[in-house]
Amino acid sequence: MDSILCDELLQEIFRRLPPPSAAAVSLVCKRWLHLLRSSTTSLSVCLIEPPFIPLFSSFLSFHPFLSTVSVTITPTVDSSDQLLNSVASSCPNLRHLRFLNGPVSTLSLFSLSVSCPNLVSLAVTLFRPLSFLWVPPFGCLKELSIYPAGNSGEFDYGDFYGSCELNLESLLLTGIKSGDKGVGFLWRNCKKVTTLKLISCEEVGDQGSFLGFLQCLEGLQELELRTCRTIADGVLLKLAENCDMLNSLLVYDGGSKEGLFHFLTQSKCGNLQNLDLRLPLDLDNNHLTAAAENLGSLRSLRLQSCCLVTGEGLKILGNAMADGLEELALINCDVVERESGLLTTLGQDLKRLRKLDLSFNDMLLDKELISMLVSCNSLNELKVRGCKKLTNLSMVSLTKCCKKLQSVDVMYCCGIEAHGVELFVLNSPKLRLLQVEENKVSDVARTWASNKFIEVVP
Amino acid sequence: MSSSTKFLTLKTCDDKKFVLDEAIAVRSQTIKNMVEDDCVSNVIPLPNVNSKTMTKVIEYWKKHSEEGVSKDVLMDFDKAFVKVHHSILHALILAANFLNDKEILDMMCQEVADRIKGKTPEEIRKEFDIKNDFTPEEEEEIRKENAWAFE
Repeated sequence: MDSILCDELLQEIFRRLPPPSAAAVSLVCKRWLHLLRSSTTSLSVCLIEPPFIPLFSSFLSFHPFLSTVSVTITPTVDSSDQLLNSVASSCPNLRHLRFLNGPVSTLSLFSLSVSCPNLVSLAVTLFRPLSFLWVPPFGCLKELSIYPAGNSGEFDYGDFYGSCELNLESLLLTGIKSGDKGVGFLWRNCKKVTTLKLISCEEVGDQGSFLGFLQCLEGLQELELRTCRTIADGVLLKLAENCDMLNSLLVYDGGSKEGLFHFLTQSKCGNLQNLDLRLPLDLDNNHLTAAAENLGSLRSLRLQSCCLVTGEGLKILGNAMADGLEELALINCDVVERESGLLTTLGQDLKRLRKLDLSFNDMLLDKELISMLVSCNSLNELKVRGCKKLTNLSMVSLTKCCKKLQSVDVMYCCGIEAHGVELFVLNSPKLRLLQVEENKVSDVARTWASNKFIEVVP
Repeated sequence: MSSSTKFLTLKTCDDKKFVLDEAIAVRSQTIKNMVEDDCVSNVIPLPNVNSKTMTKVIEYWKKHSEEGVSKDVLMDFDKAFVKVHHSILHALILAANFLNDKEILDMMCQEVADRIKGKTPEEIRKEFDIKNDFTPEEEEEIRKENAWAFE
């Protein structure tokens, strides 16, 4: 074969290999090694101990067409600046770079902007005090993710940064504290940001005034707040007033009763289509009623661990959103198990439902689920992960009622047995993905799945 | 079949001739271009394809041009079609490449990739009859580099 197939065709074959095969292919012969490396565009490197830099550089330069590189360093490696410089000088065509765990200096980032001018997305770990002066030279940069680490002990020039327009469209910040003044530079200059994600941020860098932060909200279409308890309410307040464009909001582990209520009643987000709330402990029926009245454009509603909500609130919501809602998730919401008949009513109202997620309602019974599925004929995605009381009966009902299902997750459903899984696989014409434990997949089901291109994953 | 059915004659490198409905033969982009450019006289020579391989290709073209064949039947046909010795597989890849039939090429390349998948370097060499031209030192170096990237 070596002599028969030309380089181009052999590379065509390599492109179809799953990544774990690459290591074996590289060791077959010199020609294969060379062809493999020159057809590789994406590389993920994990460094447990510091590599010998010249070797690392030459390893990278064997891959002349790399456009995506991910370097993960374990905390014991402290030569992260040298490593970043090595990546920068060896991969001039880089468009996407993740360089995590090893904090890098501003100087290295400046030289990265010179070596890799086409960089579109960048994720890096930075020293405190945070500085973002190195961002403007990256002319093509659209996505930036920042993970702050230890303190470099340098003086914080955060307050003195000037202005210059940045083209960033997507921004992710983790662990911002009140003293991180440098962030203000981003707020002031990111006028084109459409996606903002804040994770474990105690502050937005300006001692609670949100003044700088406000400026980047205007064009925002997507906002995620994960474990940002101290700022969630403040951000929601500003959001309600300033985000006409918002279509997607996610708040996990944050947001008080009043804060959320104010947002849901006062928000001018006429375009909000996706709302995803996890563990807002005080979320109750008042919130749902407000959402029903105010968020007419909602297409997807996801609620996780909302234990104060009752059937009444959900029914009002279901009724108001009957024509619009395409995705509903009630994950670990005990109202689903507590109130018999609730799912039936929701199913009857929400005719347009395409995706349903009822995961981790461990007391959910077959008859409740089945009575909902009877009305949900358009469903193409269903998750009931960890619903331990469900049995084969639910699987039978799925094959009868939901002929359009493409993706189903029944992991950790101990009441569902191999027989039920087999019956479901054999009778679901549109199925493409099934998530279930390996030991519940019979040989018959496995053969059938592989013939029908159904992916079965644990 | 309509009365206007045109037939083309394909001549493989071992001088065998295949007479084929033009509507089927134009599954090959190469032949299609020749037909469209009007440079088809009586016989189309295929200097890079032998008769054995061409027989397989035509078998595939005919099956996939039949009317009223269900998807399942085609899928079973394709499955059986790729289960051939790797010398035929490679000949089919070269033929599909020359004839510019992306469908066959895709399927065959995927089959070769599937045969490589999950094998050790030694098993791959054996399957594809390749000689190891690395020194033990070179091999060691590649293993070290692979440890960065693939584990």
